[in-house]
Amino acid sequence: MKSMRTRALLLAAGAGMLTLGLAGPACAAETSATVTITGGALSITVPVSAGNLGTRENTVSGGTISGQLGEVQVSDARAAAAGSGWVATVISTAFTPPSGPTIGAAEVGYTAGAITKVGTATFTANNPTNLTGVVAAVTATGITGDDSATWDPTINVFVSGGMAAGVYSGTITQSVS
Amino acid sequence: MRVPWPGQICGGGSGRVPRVARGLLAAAALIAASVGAPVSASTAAQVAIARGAAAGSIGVQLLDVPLSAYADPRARLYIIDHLHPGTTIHRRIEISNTTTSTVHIVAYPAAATISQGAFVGATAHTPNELSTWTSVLPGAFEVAPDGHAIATVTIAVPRNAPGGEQYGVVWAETRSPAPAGGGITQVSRVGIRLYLSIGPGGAPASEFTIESLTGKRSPDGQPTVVASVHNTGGRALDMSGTLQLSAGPGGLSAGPFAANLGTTLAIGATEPITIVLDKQIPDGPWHALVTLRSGLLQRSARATINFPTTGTSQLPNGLIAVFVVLLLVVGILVVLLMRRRRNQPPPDELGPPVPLTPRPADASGLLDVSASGNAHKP
Repeated sequence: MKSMRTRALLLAAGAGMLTLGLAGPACAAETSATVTITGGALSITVPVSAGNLGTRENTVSGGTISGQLGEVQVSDARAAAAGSGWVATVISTAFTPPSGPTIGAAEVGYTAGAITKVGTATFTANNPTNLTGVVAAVTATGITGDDSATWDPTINVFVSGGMAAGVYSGTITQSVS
Repeated sequence: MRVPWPGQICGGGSGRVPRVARGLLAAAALIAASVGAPVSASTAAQVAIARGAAAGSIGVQLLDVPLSAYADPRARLYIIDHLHPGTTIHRRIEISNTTTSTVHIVAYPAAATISQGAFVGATAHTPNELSTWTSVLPGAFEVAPDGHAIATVTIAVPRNAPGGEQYGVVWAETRSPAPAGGGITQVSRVGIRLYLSIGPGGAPASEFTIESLTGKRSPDGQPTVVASVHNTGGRALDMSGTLQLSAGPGGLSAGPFAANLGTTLAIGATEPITIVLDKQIPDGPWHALVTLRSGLLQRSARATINFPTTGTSQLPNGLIAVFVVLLLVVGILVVLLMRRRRNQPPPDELGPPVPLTPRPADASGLLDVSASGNAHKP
């Protein structure tokens, strides 16, 4: 009986030491304890070279060149809680010719077009007409479970009259978080 | 005038674009401006092939959640924490590549803001205080096909850090090769949001209120429930919620319907929530219960609403009653005044002056009504 009590006390002491031993690093270091989760990833299509959006002859009044950027797919396998969301944004640099004035990003618009949907979520296209600053392109709200959205955005570039001939280069960034 | 793309005239880049009219005014209509250049005349085919193979993606996911926030669904998606100045935290993230080739991925922190109900990461490496305290190691990877890499995000809050909540994103970025001869370079980024509250003591409380809950029918007949939500706490909120209709005509119930609102509500901000319902939902009255949540925080609001068949908005019943009474009073006064005018004797037969004639310069609207027949004030 006595020995059992002693054993129990020893066990308790051992457990206490174990607890202290575990808690020690978490408290002493400047980090809080964390646990590992196993969800899926939020992902976006790896871009391909968009090639040519289009070509047009110069006119006095200018005009718009429209072309497709290539399919974008955002998929969310994070097993997010019901009602969560993500925001896909877009921004463009100015388009620069080998010589001469640039076409500003304010002349560049983004139209998402039809969005192919998988899963339960509400997808909203914002269709910005000025890509100078980061702006929402497609927003997902009310997600339940995993979802994906696929769209093929059209880029519209207004080319004003009198622009120099040449190949205009720029960078378009699409982000999702 | 459009030249169908790919335009052969710009096939080899700027060198092969007609230069006949370069420097001239556009009237000549001979200059071809090309946005993005095909490397060859077969660019269209190349792009089409690439699109077909676009299934591959880069992904990012958070691996570590603080024990204290394990139950919070937001903390499983984002790095959310409240830290005292002088604290350092580490979180692991996994970056994956589902393409069939090795992808070069760079990882870095950058600033973010909440505007118009959306959490928006700033462009490129735009810094803010939070991003300067944050590092990602390693910062660049060659991720094998169907492979993944693990990076550690470290946030070291300096001892003199100001209080308040700051936002950022840890991005994983990849870009298309720059097209030979010029054209469009595409960049894709996928990120994990950072919501970091700094200050002594415990985390500031999260709180929000639901202000106003009304029913209306859009011009095309779609019944809509409109509410507004106000973030009254000290942390940003990621809102979601549902609407339940009950005690409707004939005891009908409907829902739950998903509430559609901006994903993120900044501290102090008020954003509208619109819940669009099926056209076949009867006018009502309904007992509406809207329940909104952010993480573990949940609030509800109840109201009796209608979807009026005409008009766009539903006035409270009390206001409508006051309006009707006012109209009646004005109408009776107008009739009385007109009768009185008609019965008035000519001016020379006037006895003591009637208070209403002559009219004072600042005649009231009611007097004007009798004089001009116009129902409006001047």
